[in-house]
Amino acid sequence: MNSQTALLMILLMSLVVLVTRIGGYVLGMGFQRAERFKGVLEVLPGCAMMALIVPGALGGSTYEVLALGVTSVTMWKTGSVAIATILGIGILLGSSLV
Amino acid sequence: MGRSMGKGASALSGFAISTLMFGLMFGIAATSAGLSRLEALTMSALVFSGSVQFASLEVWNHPAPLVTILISSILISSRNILLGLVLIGQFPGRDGFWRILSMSFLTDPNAITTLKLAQSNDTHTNRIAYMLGGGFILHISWMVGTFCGLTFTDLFGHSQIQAMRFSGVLVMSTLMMVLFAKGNTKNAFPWIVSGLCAAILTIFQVHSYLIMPSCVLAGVLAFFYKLNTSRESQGKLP
Repeated sequence: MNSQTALLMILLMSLVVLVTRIGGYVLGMGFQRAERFKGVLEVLPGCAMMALIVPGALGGSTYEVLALGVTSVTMWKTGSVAIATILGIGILLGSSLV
Repeated sequence: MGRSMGKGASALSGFAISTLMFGLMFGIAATSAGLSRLEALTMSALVFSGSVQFASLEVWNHPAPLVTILISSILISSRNILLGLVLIGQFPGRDGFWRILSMSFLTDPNAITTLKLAQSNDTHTNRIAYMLGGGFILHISWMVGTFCGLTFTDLFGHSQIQAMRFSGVLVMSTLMMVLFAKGNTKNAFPWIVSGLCAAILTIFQVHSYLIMPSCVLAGVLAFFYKLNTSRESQGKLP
């Protein structure tokens, strides 16, 4: 991606995020029925992330899949982002030495 | 107002450490994905959303998949709409500009601590300033983390940086685990359906820009299916 396209992309992304940050509050003040969509809004981000994680995992090497498994299980068990990501990154860095 | 901002910043100082850690990871992943130092820092300064930024790195290549990045940004940040709805009625007064400014720093920890403040019946603290202070400290730690990550990668060779291109997926998996924990696994079914859909489409080598909308659609349909079946089972109860 060239520099100009990248900066345009970043600006568009920031606009999208800003609109959703302010939009929920403004929308809720204007439309009392907006709360009906709460359930769907809870589900959407997870679905989008699954659509990125799963293809990444399927296309990953053995070490990358191992790092993903270790990171996910550690995060689930400990709840610590720091420990989970350090372990995962450690495996990725270790794989580059093999 | 200054005191309230300081109070908000202090309340979120614990979260600032994990934000710094995520920022560090983002800096490393951004270098690995091919972003320049300026692009990565600009993205962190303007977007200020870990999940959206990490997701964009997964598809950040040439030719630029603008539509895919925008769709993923909209879908992932749609959670902010939910947080905004939760905060309605929590900011007394008529200072519209400050209210909108504080909402532009909206994040999960920021919203949760502001709600806790509202529930504590603390009338001395200005809630808008409190949220703004919390947003500032998280934004600063996010920027510092990104800068450290970008600097950190200078210590590595090309093979290590290439190995770390997968770190974005790792961070997204930790975010996914956070979502599972917050949702008390009640949303697990739609997410699993979405993941299965992604797996099937990837195996059949469907074009990448179709995977995201198809998986989200499958997840939303699964959500409504589960909603209907739970309503029906409740209706059958004596």
